[in-house]
Amino acid sequence: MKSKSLAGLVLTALLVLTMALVACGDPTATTAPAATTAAAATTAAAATTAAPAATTAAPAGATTAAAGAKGKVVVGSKDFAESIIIGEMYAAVLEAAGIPVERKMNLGATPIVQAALVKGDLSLYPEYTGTGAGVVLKLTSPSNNPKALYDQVASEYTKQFKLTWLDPAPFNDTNGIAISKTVADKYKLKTLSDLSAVAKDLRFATNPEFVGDRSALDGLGSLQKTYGGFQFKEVVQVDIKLRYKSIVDGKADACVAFTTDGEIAGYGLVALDDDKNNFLPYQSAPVVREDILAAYPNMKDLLNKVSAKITGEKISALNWKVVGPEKKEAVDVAKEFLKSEGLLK
Amino acid sequence: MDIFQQALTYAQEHSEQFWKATGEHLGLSFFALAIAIVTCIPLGILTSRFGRGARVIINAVGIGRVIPSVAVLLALYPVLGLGFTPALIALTLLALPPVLINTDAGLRGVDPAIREAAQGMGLTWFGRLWQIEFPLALPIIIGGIRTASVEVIASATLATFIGGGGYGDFILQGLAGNSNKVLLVGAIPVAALAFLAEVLLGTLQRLVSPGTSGIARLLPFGRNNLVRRA
Repeated sequence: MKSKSLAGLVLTALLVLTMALVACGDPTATTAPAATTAAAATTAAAATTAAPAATTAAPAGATTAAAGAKGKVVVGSKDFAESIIIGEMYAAVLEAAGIPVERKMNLGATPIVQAALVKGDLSLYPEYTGTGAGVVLKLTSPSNNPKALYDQVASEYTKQFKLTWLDPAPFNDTNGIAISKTVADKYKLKTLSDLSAVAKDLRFATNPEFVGDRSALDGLGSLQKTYGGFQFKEVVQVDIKLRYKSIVDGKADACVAFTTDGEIAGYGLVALDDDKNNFLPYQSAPVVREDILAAYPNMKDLLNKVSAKITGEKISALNWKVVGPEKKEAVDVAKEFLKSEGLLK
Repeated sequence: MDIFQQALTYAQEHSEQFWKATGEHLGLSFFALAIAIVTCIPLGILTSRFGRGARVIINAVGIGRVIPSVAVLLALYPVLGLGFTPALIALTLLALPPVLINTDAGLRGVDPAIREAAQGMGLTWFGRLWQIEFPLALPIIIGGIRTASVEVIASATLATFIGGGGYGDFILQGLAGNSNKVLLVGAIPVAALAFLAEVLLGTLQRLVSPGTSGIARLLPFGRNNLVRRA
């Protein structure tokens, strides 16, 4: 009895505490000078997200603290197939070149990996230019031109975090919307313009990022602004990995699709054309700590060679090998790819 | 305090979404608790009549509490799909054990002398249960409901993973989008609801405790409160 009501109290107290932590972090961010606001905000996020990351990264702290003195290189990734595959590619080529590598894949959402990278628990991980602009830097007017956006993001990262963006891969894994073949045929939909008007009859499955704070910049809000319409009958928010399942299970008619997702072709869905160029470019590149790059000067060339080979078609196919019925391990998929491209023996 | 102001503004700007999430969160919590109460109080009455055999039932139901809710959600979703119903089932599994365990323990805890006296007075099986044992066990049973409600309100946050809605929608938007104000739009109401449930049911628990009377019942840390909660 006693322990149970105690558990309830502790639970409540924990929640309140979390809130207090989150709340305390931010005032410093708002009082800081404009240029450093974003940096302070991310460290505030770091304070709250560091706990789970720290428990998994226990040994990493020690090794990377001495990163300048040739410690291990800790390669990380976020928690979805494409990020893990690309992370494994980085790890494999570095390892093959004799650099000691530690893998910390499948970590979580952007704020977690970013905080770990800034703190030094990670040495590098693959990030997308659009995410860097929207989620990390929170740029208010990011460029819609891939090259210009890359330059914008890269220079801000150097200035604010002492992090280097190496060359981006040629593919663009941007936001999009996928619909089932049936719906596409029924309403004769090819482009997002076509969809904007009939959205009111359709149910829409989305990941949290697409409808949250940034929605007006690069999400449902910006779609409504650019195309008009897009007032879906129902918006169902689901975990990022369950977007396509919602359509397959008949719980939704349309869903957020990242354009290189293997599921689009895999499930026979139709990705609609962004005919008014609404979405930001999302090119993937390794984001590396400056001290690590200085310690391993050949790293830059090694990773740039990998990025150059990753095209949209290729990465989609690799993604499907992991998330599709084959259920291959990301590490194997990454190594096979590197071998077929002649980057690994 | 600025961040709270921002959160409030965000909630006002997204009021339709906020009230929808509120409805979903309350609905999930309420129905999960209601199902637990309707099934587990009678079940607890039954198990309290059996001897050691009852342990099997209680432990079986208790499994619902051992498995993390997220695991239940993700395990159920291939079978039941996405949405409100699978989320409700996962939460109900979480709400069942405290109600069952406390009902069982409360009834077993009734002094055998009192039970014997009631029998001696010629009360029927149902009469004994309804007029004597149940009122005596009620504070403990409500304690179980109180534990369950706090757990359910907090865990309903996870429903968002499988499209069940609720305040978790905002919390995940805040986490994924690196925005604390959006996170707070979900986190504050969850904490407030859990706190409210704790206080309301705690008060109710005191009110039904035998031996308390008058204003003493309403005092949060009165003499009886300390005894009854233990």
